[in-house]
Amino acid sequence: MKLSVRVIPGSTRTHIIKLLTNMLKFRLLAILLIIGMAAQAQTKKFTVSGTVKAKSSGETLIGAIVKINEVQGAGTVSNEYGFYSITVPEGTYTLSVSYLGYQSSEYKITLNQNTTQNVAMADEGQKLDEVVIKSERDDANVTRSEMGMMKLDIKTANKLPVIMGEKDILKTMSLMPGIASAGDGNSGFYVRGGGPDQNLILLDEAPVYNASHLLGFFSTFNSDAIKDVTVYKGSIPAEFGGRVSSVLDIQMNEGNNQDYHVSGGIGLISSKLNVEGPIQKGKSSFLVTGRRTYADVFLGLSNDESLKGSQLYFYDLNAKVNYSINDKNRIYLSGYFGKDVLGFNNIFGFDWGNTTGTARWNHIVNSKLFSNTSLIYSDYRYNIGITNAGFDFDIKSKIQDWNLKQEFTYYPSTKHTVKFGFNSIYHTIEPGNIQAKSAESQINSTNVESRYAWENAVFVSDDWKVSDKLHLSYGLRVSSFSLLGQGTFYVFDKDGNTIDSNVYASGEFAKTYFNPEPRMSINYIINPKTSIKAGYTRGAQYLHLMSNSNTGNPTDLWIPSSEIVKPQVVDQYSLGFYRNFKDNNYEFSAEVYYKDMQNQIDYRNGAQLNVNTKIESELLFGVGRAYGLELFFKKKYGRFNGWVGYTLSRTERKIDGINNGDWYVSRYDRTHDVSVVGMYDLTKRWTLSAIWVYNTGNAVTYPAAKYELDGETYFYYSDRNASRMPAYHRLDIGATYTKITKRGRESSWAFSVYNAYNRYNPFSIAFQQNEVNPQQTQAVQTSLFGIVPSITYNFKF
Amino acid sequence: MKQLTYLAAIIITGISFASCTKVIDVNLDKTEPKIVIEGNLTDTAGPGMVKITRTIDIDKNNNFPGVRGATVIIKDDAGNEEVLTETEAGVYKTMTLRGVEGRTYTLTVSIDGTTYTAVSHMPMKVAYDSLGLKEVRGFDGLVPYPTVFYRDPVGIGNYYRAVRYVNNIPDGELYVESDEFIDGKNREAILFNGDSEEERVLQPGDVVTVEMQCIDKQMYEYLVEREEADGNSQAAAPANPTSNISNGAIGYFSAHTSETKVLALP
Repeated sequence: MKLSVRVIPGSTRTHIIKLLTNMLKFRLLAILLIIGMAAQAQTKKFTVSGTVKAKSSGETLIGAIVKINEVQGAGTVSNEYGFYSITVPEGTYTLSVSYLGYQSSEYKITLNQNTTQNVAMADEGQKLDEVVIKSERDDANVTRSEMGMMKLDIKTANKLPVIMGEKDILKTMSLMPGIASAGDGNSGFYVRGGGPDQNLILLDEAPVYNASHLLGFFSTFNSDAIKDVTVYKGSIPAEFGGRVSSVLDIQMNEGNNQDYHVSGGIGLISSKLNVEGPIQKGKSSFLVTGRRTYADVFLGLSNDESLKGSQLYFYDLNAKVNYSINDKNRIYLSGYFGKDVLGFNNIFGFDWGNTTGTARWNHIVNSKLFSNTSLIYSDYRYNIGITNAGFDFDIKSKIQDWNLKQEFTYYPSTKHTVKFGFNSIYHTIEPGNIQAKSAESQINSTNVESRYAWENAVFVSDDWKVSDKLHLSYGLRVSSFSLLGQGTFYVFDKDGNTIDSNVYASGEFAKTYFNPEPRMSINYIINPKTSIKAGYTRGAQYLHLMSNSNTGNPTDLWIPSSEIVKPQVVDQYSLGFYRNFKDNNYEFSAEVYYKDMQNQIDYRNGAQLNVNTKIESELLFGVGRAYGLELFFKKKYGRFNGWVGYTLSRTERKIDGINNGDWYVSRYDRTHDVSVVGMYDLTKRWTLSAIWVYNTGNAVTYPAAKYELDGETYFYYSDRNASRMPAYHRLDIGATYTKITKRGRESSWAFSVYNAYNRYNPFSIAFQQNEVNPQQTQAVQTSLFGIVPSITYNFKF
Repeated sequence: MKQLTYLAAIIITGISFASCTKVIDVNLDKTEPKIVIEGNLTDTAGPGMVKITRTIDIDKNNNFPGVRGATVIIKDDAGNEEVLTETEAGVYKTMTLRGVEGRTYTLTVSIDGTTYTAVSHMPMKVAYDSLGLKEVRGFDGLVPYPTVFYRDPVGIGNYYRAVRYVNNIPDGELYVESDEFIDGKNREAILFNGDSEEERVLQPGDVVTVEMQCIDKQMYEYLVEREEADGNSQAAAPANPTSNISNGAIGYFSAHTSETKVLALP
């Protein structure tokens, strides 16, 4: 085994020059685009712009419809910070703003210079026959250019029955077609055949690495303080990158800047509290929201000595503060802290959690240009401590990001909305290392190296209303990824034996990748009720989650791309048909997609993924493909509303070294996936809801024969994932009783029954000796949940 | 991790809704019977033994008839070679060949015109200081477990296996260790009870026998892989362990040192 050590000089400079050249190229492209469009302006045009907020709380409203009645096509929606901008010829107009749940506003404006018109929307009173369900325009389904984008209405999500009364937006997302829940006891989700690590989950722009509590039973998102949730599963806008299957963009409330409010809820296993209010009325506000379980309180009451000393809890804490310096500048500071703690007496302790911090600055440069600058910190870490009979050690691990993002939105005319910017992230990954607690410990400390990487991207995109019937959305994202020293990087042969190693000093560039990622979608509006769309997206992913089990563990490790581990690149093609009925009350869509995946990863037999200095030798590489049909039908308004979603799909992998190099069904495959959701407003106070889901069982590998060795029976496996577990289906029902007093105080009781017909859905299947007849082998299925009723109490004042 | 998931499920949903199991019917593929070889050679007086059987369908009763009439040869790298004698159906034993630490052994099996070969290196013996008891705090209070005391020599590349018998009944539990994390340390390897049916808490008067083996790297990896593919579909996709026998045979050939100590509980 020959080892050569190379230290490469001068690469740093070359790489920085390469990066700057690419960034400059795109600045140039962006500038040309803007000049081109400005040159088109012949008649004198002026811009009206401003921020849309809710009058009672001061919260900015995302996606409010703003239009100038007198000019055809002169309309837009407010952005993630409530900003809008419309450019029309000089004149006198009526500006109208609407957003469901609020009274529409109209303003008379005389446009003979660029004008600022801020909008404050008053709450709409509760009306029974107009139940508010959505946060986007009536016909968005047909008119918006993005494909495969879905918005989750928080108010709807809060009415649906959930397990143990714990609202979970990740589980609610999986009720949409194309998004499959990874199963009971697992908060991961698969989007269009991709793995759970291929989803970018953003909380106020900060990436969340492990969005699950308690080993996957619950997600880390406290839905009380969430303003907006959007999922992109098809054509992903150019401003997002880094994960190839989807983007889950979660925006939280900022805090009521008019009045103080306290709200919260008490549930069977956790409680939450939300406090918000103004610091300076109308100018600044804060929001603090927290949630904690208390399952472990009951452990303390137990007679069992061992359970008494045990701990099992999790908490989430979000804290935010924002300040409007003036009409054109606003700064935000937000933080999220979450942790899970599992402990057994003093023998075993395991805790893990995320921390994120974001500082943002919104700047309205001029009436047509909006800027957002963000500095983001995000980390995920876990600690394991064992003190048992001479085995005393800790294992600590963390992944940490420092991220600087700059985004501009430019509104040159009513036909174009241009976005451009850059994103730079510095990653530090410290894989789990054993630290012996003392020299007498029976275990040695290990020294698995940390990894450092620098990920960058520049992007430009344009949303172009070519005509009333044709809408084009196109853009380019160019991303780069550099694996940096200090570190020793190995090269392996096909069997995982080390054949070479290279050493790099701190800051040196060990390996760099560039990937252009074009994004585009076309929307052809046949008539105001019907449209067809086509889209193409290419995405690159440079961080990969090493996870060898079907449930995902808090100890799963992220590794960076390197000489051996190439970036995942996924091309997705999609086509869709959209039709609304009865005045946009009913929505129907049918989408087909095909995904081509390069550089997919799987593992050798018996792979050791933790505490392994040569983890890359355990990896096998290949390709993947996924295709499917998604049907969606929704009734939006009325006392009774809901939706039905059906996905027919397949996802496969072909990996060198697995299944003889043949295509095999991926463990993320769900042939049929059905969701039926219904909500009914029985009276002014009572709402009933029900969910029914069905999906084909997971693809698994079953044995084909058995044999005896060393006096024991073992199983022989043939094709990978060629069998299926039994199908999964479940009915949840719920009822909510809400009371609102004259002074605006609200309280509600939510009753729910999870798995109402008590089906024992398979969690895992094991092959064992028959207890009665040990000569026989039987298949034994384990289920996690039978029927689970729950009650939650929520209040707001 | 699976244990922790179940623990969490029980605590979360309360006592009455804990996880439940039931037997189900499954459709299983069938496959052509494959040759299974279990080959062991030690440095003790007992004979080297090779057992040959075939795989059977899952729905059949556990009957694994031996394969008769095979030609089984073991040779070492010091010029010794022996054709093993079939003492009973499918069981082939050495009469003269002895296992010596440090030597490399090659096994050749010929059945019906097909030849299977395997190579195993018998490591240098690591002294097995003693067999004792250690009390560990568990769910049921302080529990005694048999403990093997030994010192791992400095230098990565030592692999150990312990086989435990209580009152002469084997455990069926796998205890293997590599010195990757314990290199050079004085080791107190506690042999905890596993999930196996035969195990129970040790009682006064029990006689515990522990055999310690020094095995080679291939055998260590084979045992670890075989243990992982335990028929549970929630873990990593199960796959057949990598055998050191050629030509698609299932099983292993292991040349290892062996030392046995006995402990009677007071």
